[in-house]
This record gives sequence, C-alpha cells and structure tokens, in this order.
Amino acid sequence: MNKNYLLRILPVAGVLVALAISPVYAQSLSVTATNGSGGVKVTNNGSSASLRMANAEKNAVNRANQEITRRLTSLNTLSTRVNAMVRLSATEKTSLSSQIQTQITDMNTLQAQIAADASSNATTSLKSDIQSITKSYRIFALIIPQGAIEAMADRVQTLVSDFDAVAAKLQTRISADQSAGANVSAAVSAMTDLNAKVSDASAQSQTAVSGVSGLQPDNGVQTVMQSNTAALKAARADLQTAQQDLVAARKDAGAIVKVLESVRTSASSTSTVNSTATSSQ
Amino acid sequence: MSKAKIYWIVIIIILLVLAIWWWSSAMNNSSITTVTSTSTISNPSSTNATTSSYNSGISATDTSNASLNQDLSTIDSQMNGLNSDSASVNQGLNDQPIPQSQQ
Repeated sequence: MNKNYLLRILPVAGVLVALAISPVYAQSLSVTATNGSGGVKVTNNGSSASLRMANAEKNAVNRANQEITRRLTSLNTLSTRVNAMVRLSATEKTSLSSQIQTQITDMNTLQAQIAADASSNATTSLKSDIQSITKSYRIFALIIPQGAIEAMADRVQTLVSDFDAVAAKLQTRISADQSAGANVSAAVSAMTDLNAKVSDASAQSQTAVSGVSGLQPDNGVQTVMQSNTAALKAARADLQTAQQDLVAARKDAGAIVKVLESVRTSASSTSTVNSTATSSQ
Repeated sequence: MSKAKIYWIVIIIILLVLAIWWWSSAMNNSSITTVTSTSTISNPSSTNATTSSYNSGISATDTSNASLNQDLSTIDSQMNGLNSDSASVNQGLNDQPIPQSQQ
C-alpha cells in the first residue's frame, strides 16, 4: 500500500459523502416558507437545516389545507344559497352553479394532490401546487361576491313580489274605506311612497345583477381586476339602496295597516253606538 | 500507511455515508407523512330552483287585519334574510386569503 493508492481512494469516498448529503442541500434550497411574523428561510446547516426544512414544508402544507378548506366552506355555503334562489333566471342560476361546482372540484383535486406530494416528498410538485392556490384565488375572489350579490338580488325580488301582493290588499282596504267615507289620507300618502320604494328596489336589484352577471376572472390582468372590483362594489351599492328602499316600504306598510285598523275600530264603535241608541228608543 | 488501515478508513466512510442517507430519509418521512387531507365536503346535489323556502306565501284575497299583520310578519322574516345576504356580500368583497409560500 502506498500514498498514491490512498490518493485514489479518498476522492471516491468524498464523492460518496457528497452524494449522501446532496438531497438535503437540494431540498433546503427549494423550499421557503413564511409565517405570521415574516419569512422563514430554510438554510443548509447540517441536521438542524433538514429538520427546519421539513417543518417549513409541513407548515406550508397546513396553510394550503386551511386555505382550501376555507374556500370549500364558502363555496358550499354559496352553492346552498344559490340552489334556494327563486327569482333569478334559470340561465343565470345554471351559470353560477356551474362555476361554483367547477371550483369545488378543482379545490378537492388540488387538496388531494398536495397531500400526495407531501407524502411522497415531491417538493417541486408541492411547491407548484401550493402556488396554484394563490393563482386560483383570482377566480374564487370573483365567484364568491358575484354569487352573494346575485343571491341578495334574488331576495330583493322576492320581497318586491311580497310587497306587491300586500300593496294590492292594502289598496283594496283603502278604497273600501274611502268609499265608506273614512279619512284615510295618511294611508294613501304612505301607499304612494310604498309603491315608489318597491319599484325602485326592483330596478336597483336588476341593475346590480346586470352589472355582475357577465364578469369573468381577471387571470392576473390588473385592469380587468380593477374593473371587476368596481362592478362588484357598484352592485353592492345598488343593493344597499334597494335594501333601504325596502326598509322604508316596510315602515309605510306598517303605517297603512295602523290607519286601516283604526278606521275599522272606529267604524265598529260607531256601529255599536248606533245600535245601542236604536234599541233604547 | 498500511493497506489494512486504508481499507478500514474506506469502510468507515461507506458506513458514514449510509448512516447519513438513512437519517435524512427517516427525518423527511416522519415529518411529512403526518399531513393528510381531511376535508370531505359534499357537492351540491342539484341546481334546480325548486325550493320554496323563499316563496313567502302571502294570501292574495284575505284583507283582514289579522291577515295583513301576518303578511307583515312574513315580510319581516324576509327582511332578516336580506340583512344576512347583505353581510355575505360584504364578506365576499372583503375576503382575504391565507398567505401561501411563494418560493
């Protein structure tokens, strides 16, 4: 055995050591995770680096699962609400339900893929899948408020229908009392306001639906994102106006009913008095 | 240096390599395999708008005081639902995602 032989063996041994450690290097360089207080960079520092890398990866997967579950909860809640809508057109409902269902399917698939990546230590695929959560948020961020706006508009239209039915009945009573010579001017005035408010609420809700029904995900285009946000906020403002209209209409309806009740009570009292006077003669 | 000593050094290095490889594999598996998917959220079964939960059922003919007051109660119920819908709209527009790692 001589020195030359040793010089040939030692480099081979060195390469073997390097190969053994290389996976740790590769993973620590490819995974970076953040937490609530800022970024946590995983660095190569022997065994502690590997442990930190594994923890960072685990935290990233946990955050991904939390976000996916959060979105699934919102999407399923919206889906239930959409299925209960009764006034919007079948086309709008079908379109909305289809978008929601696609998102639910995508989220379930992505969650399963992330779990598979994590269990097989496929860090590159895991990183890509987690990044797709952020990218897909653009779709989620449109569908949820869009669906909520259409659901609220549907409720407004239901209330408009209810108020129309009640208004017809109130008008019948008002007309009857007017024919009987009762003073129902306050009810007539409130009725005029009620009809105007209900009509405006209906128009506002239709404007809101028209404003959001054609919106498409921005796919990262800033101008589209801004126009979508503006349209959603405008629709919300329309629906808030509609809501205020309906609150006012409800007050009008209550005031009209009170007037009509007082007229009927008064008429009943008068009738009783007249009847008593007649019988005593 | 004797030939035997060199052999021993090589064997030790190989054992060291195997030990490092085994340790790194065991560490990764124990950290990651505990993360599993637990969400099993059912899909909506239907998109048909056949539910009557938002049909208020206001009588078109009964104009008595009792009926009118019942109608107003029905409207109040829908108004409460409208408040809930309004809150959902606000929540949807103000939604913030849970930050994900970007690198």
